[in-house]
Amino acid sequence: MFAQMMIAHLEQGVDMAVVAKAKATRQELRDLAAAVDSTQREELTTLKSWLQTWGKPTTTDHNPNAHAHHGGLPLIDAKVLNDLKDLSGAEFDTTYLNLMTGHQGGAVEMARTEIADGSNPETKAYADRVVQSRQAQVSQMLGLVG
Amino acid sequence: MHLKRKLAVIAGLAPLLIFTLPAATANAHGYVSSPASRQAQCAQGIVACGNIKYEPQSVEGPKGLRSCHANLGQFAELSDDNKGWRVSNVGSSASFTWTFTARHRTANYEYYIGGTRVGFVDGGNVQPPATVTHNINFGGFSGRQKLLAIWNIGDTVNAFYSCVDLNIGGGGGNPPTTTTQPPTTTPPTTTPPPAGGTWAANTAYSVGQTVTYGGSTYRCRQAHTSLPGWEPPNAAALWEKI
Repeated sequence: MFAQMMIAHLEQGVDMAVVAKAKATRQELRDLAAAVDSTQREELTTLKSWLQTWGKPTTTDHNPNAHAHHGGLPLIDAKVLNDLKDLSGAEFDTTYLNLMTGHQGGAVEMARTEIADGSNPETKAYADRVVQSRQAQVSQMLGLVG
Repeated sequence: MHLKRKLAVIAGLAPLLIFTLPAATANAHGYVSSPASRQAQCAQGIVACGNIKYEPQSVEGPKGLRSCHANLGQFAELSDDNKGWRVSNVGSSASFTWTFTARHRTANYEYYIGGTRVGFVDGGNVQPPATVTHNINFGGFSGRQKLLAIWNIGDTVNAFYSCVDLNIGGGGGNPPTTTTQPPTTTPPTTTPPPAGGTWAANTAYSVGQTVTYGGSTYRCRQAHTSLPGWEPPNAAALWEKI
């Protein structure tokens, strides 16, 4: 379940990062978004191959309340993404930083749930990398939002 | 989970459930990210903190509390006024931005300085927009103040709490916001490391740079600032093994 929820979360993150790597005004933010885009695509490939090996579907129910007991799916929806695309300049940067900080904070939560409750060592090791890399991103982004 | 918790509260079983459910069931949440609240400073690494740094959005407790840590023992350090929190210089009013990881239906937002409510924003009991900013007038308060921002949830008994340390009239613009700018504890290095050095976190790498990690050499595929969790063997998108 963690892998399936994480796939939905990673895809939403990629959707936002793709916009930001083109539209953000600050180079450091474009670089961060581009790195998030490519690392999360790589993670998507890994998770999908695990699920295939396990004989499980790679999609999950996007209803945000469907998985509340697992930590809940996150806050980005099509409207939020479209509204973000309509912004530009400093307003874009600020809004993206705010959304992505919350989004990656949600990833930390999901991954900590997996570390606490999960059983597969490989998945838990991945969850640990998610905690570290997303917490570090949140830290960076809070600094950028100033 | 939220329904369960609510029913449990109604049944008077809340204490039992709160202690038996794994902490991981939390389905958060939000906090004030700008000006940097105490938990935001923990997450950013400005102040060294415990687990709150992983979940600044989780300072959740029953409505009506007046503490920075929602009376949660594991977050008690948020109420420690002597932890070296960064103080934001503001004018007679300032904008407060919330960061959400989940958007609960919202009853309202409240802002307190001491026992005085200086701000109230109705949430209409609907899901808030993905980003929320409020301009709050401090109503004559000045100098060093601790502001408590509260997000009262519409569909649970709970609220989320964030304390922000302010210096009102301390040279900030009017209305705007912050202040004493960072230094964060993990600033990206701007000087490129020497070619062939050992990979390190929080370092700016450019395309073509090489590093060693775990006895292997890697070439950077894509400009980025390195992070823990993005070690070369864990991030083939960023590093090519050579």
